[in-house]
Amino acid sequence: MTKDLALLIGPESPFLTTEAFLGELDRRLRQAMH
Amino acid sequence: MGKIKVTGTVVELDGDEMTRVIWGFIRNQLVLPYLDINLEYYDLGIERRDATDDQVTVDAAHAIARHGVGVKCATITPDEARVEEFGLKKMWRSPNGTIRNILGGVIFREPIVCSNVPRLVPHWTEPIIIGRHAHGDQYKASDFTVPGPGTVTITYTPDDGGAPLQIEVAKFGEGGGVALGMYNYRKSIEDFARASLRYGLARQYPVYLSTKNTILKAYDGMFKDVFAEIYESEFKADFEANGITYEHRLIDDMVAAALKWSGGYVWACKNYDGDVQSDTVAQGFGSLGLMTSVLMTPDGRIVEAEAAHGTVTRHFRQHQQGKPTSTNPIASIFAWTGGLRHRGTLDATRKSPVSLRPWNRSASTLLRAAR
Repeated sequence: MTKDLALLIGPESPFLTTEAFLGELDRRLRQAMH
Repeated sequence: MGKIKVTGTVVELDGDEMTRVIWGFIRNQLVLPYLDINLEYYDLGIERRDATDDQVTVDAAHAIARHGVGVKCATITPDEARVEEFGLKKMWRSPNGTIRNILGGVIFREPIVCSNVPRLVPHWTEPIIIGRHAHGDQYKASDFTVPGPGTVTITYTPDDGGAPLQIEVAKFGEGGGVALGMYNYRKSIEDFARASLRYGLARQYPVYLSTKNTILKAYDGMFKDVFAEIYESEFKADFEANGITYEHRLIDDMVAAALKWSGGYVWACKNYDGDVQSDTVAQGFGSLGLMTSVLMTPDGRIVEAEAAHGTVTRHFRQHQQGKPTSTNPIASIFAWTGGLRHRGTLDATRKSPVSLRPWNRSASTLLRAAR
């Protein structure tokens, strides 16, 4: 997830960069659509 | 798998800064590979608005009216600093204001609820959708300072030459005070009622209207009565068939109930209440990055969807310097899916709305993965 949401979970919660998050979204959408 | 053919056109309104970067990715990577769709593109980036003397915004609004669906990227609303930054010809008004003036309708703010993202109000497990009557009341009031002792009256003068109606508001003593005259139109309240009830029906959620009709018997009483009349004559049968309800509540009861309930309803708010409550609700759900904004006309034909947040300028500055950012694209994605879902409904190609699920699902699966 992105930083704004990770911070809601906890200060140490990991997050992705904009590009990585969109890339992961793209990958999962491709999977879901096949 | 072949592309899904979309019959009607979707009007795409591009925007500014970080959200523009994300918007392009969504269009090119998440939408166009899967849909055979005609997008009518309008660039509402600040430079283009300035170059066209804001005509591009007006043209985009008319295109949305023509096709029934618009998806909009966040845009800059210029202030003095932005006029200076971009060397603008003038301080163009908010694109959203221009579009709403042309289309009419009510704006509904709806949060995207993710089960693994903690909320400030943890038991808000379903969305609270705020519909704000963005017309009149305090926002078009004439307010003034009463300088000293005297009487303030309000006068209604009929156009047909009938006798004027004069009402004494207050007698002022030493030191004077303040006064205001404010108004709303029956027609605008009717539009508000139809849009709110229709949105509830579309989302399959009950609808609540809040007023203070115990104090403002005539003013808020008209809101209550108009909603009740329109519900009874135009919506009751559909609401009952869908197992949803409409109710009027006092604003104080409604605020308390909203805190207590778990969500899952449309809250039709008068102008000022909507202003206050939409920010309360956004905070309660955790992040503006998960808040969408949908404009719907009273007849339900036209929908324009966008993220409720701005252009994320601070991240864009970092992006321009080549530094990585972590900008939330979820609300922008839901603007696209919300618009496409409405396109599917208008075209009644059942395939279209159903096939949109993977978009929403991928976004929420990814959030759950919490990586």
